[in-house]
Amino acid sequence: MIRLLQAVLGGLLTGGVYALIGAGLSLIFGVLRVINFAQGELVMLGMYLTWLLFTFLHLDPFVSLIVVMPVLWMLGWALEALLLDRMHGALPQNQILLTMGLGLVLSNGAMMAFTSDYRLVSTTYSSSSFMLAGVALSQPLAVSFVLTAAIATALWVFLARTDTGMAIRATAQDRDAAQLMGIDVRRMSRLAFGIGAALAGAAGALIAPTYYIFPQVGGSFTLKAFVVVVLGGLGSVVGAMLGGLIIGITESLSATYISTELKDVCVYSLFLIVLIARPGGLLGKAE
Amino acid sequence: MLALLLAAAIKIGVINSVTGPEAPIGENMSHGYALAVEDLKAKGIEVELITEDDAGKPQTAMGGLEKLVTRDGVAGIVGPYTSASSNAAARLAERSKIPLLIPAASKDEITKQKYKWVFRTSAVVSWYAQVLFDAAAKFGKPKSVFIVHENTDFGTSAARGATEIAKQMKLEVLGTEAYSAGSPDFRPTLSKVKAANPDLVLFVSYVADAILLMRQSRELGLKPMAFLGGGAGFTTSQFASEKTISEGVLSSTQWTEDVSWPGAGAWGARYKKKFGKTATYHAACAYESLLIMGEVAAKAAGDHEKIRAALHDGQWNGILGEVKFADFDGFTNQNKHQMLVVQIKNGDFVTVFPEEFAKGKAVWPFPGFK
Amino acid sequence: MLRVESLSFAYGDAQVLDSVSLEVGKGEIVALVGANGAGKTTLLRTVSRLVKPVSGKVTLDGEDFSRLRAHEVVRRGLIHVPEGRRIFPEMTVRENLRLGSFTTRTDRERNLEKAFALFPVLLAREGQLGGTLSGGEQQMLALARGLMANPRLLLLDEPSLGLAPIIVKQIFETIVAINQQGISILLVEQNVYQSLHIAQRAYVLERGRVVLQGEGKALLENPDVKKAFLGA
Repeated sequence: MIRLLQAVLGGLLTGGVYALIGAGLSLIFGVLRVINFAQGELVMLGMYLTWLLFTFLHLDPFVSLIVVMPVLWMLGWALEALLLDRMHGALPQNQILLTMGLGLVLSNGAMMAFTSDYRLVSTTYSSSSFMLAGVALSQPLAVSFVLTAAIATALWVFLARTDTGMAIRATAQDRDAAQLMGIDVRRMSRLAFGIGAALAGAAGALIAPTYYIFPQVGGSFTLKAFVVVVLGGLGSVVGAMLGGLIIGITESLSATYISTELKDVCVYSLFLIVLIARPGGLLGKAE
Repeated sequence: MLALLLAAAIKIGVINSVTGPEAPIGENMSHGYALAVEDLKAKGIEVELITEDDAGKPQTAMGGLEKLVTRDGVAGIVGPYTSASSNAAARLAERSKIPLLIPAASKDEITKQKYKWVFRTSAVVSWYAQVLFDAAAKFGKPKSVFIVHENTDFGTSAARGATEIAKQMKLEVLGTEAYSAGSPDFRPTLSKVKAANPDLVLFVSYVADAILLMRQSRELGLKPMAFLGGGAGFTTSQFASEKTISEGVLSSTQWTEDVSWPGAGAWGARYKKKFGKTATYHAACAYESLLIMGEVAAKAAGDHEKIRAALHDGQWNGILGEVKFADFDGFTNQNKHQMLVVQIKNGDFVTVFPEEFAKGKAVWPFPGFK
Repeated sequence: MLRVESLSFAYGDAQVLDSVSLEVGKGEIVALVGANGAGKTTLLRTVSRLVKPVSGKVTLDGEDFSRLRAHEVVRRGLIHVPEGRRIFPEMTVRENLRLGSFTTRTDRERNLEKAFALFPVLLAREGQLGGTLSGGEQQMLALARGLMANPRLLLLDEPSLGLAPIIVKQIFETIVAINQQGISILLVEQNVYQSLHIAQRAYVLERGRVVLQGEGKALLENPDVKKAFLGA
């Protein structure tokens, strides 16, 4: 029982980070209709920024969110304005090449700037835990989960309740109709890409104390985010959140009860089963 | 004319993980190669090093080897780093009849295939566990072990070797868990370990996962008699510098700076001065391997068959101790390298086993995390 | 107030609009009729700047549109209610209306009251997702959403398409009612009889060209119009 609880809680905490990365990817896809294959590299940038702030300014990684998110937001905004904006309406394969290329530039740029050494953000609490009903809960993961929940709630309130948030959703649902409402859809694209990048950066800052940082770290996050987003339904932010938690818990349960080695097999099997049953993903529409 | 021939640099190929996830170790090896080129030059041997990057991938390593042989016409090749790449490159080297000296890859099978053209400087991975279990048996009376390893060639073959040796030594293997590198969450695996409550925990992993495994072991409150690290990730200075989690961990290694092999200490100091980092066993193995290949190739004037014969018959004594490529226990052209056990004390590696090389006394059993 | 001068548009080699000129005066209902593929929808999309013309000029009260983007046109009081309603299916009725007032936030509450007064059925459905409404309700939502932006000129594209006759009648009555509030209307319709009936003036578009124009009621009597559109 303790083991089950340990597995579910542990998976939930890890899944929270996947949820954040996935939500950003989904938001970007919804508004721009572009799959951002550089999403993991944005996470990587968030991690390096956190590491820099921690190493040189001794800023706590969780506090560094207040720097990392705006910086990544601006970067996302600029990338959209300079690169993706020009690609609007281009062939999908060209857009994919653009974001993939962007990812390569970012990871190789990071290699030039930071070398390929592994970087660590070793805080005093990096390996601390507290006991909850007999379950050892990682302290940094628990804090990161709380912050993830806060960011997710803020995102939801923004998208559901504010005029700008609604304008972003409107742009995702019908770009032409949104323009006829007086919405500047190019600005919304920039905003969405900025928010997606900020979410990726936040995820990077949140995992920095428990993970390690190297230039190629983004690749696995891009793949995972893609699985999370397709599982939840492309373009659905809530779906991506749900997908992230499901993937996290599946990983944890299968590692606990089947085998660590078969963890990914279990995750992708679940992924396939869901897609066969619901081709549009859990909260998506089948097209 | 003769002077020209003598002055012409001898071409030696290097295959290394310059990029990719293993790049940090590849970088250490590059440093080792650089020092070897310097020392060869001091001996009057001009070496032209041609490096191919395999990014840790076997396919790329094979392509690199092919290029070095056909395009560059190298005298011999040193590398690659990872076991997977080395195993693939070895097969191709044998077919191409090119001398290949593998410096630090440790999968047993690589030199167990009766290859004539493939040589290895470093110890094989099953000896990693052997020396650790030997040390443990000397320090205490462990009865059981749990093995957690990376599901790569290196990790799997280390785990297989460890299981066999454990059986021979009457250590009960309570479980073996493989994981894929780069996973952020080892907690499910480690809670299995905790439930099994073994005397020894053996981890076999590359650089960064070693840190995560120990961090999460601390989170979950694991307290075995000893944490054993099977080389690689547990022997980096970065791991050692994480003092809250590294203190007291025992690890097998191929080389340490404080070992009494000829020139090891001075070489380590020179390395640190030049590159600003502590030398690792990877760097030492790379250095010694290229030194041997360079000398032999120069003497044989680049003739492949002569180089092969010279490697097979020669004997060296340097910073890795005695090196001799011998045939024994099913191995071919394998150096019977002496493994060492180090313990991390306050961020530093101290050689604690075997006794003739020990520089300090082991802390036993593991006192628990701070 | 709206002047369209020699407007041309092409998709590649296919000429869709060939030097079309028309005008809508203040307070007018002007109908634009023609067969499928005559270029009516494209004309509206060009006027509201969703697409850019190859040549020609559009002005509203003398202001040239050629440098404006679609969302900027909205702020000038020209509101395009597109073909197929194009409501936001995954948003509630109220959210759709709120988006309609994206540029007129200060008048939001007042406009909302007016919209619900004009279409009481929307008030009853205000929490329902747009995609779950019937065709007629969706059309009413599209009209109401357009009214939220304080329009001076409404471009209506096929508001009666696919609706039951009783609903069509209701929609046309509503258009007249909207016009009586002083809002000019450019109406594109396949229902030629009804639209010529309520329009002061009308243009007939054929393969991208204006082939006939005149007063609505006069065109109803025109033998060519009768033959082509009214099945007589």
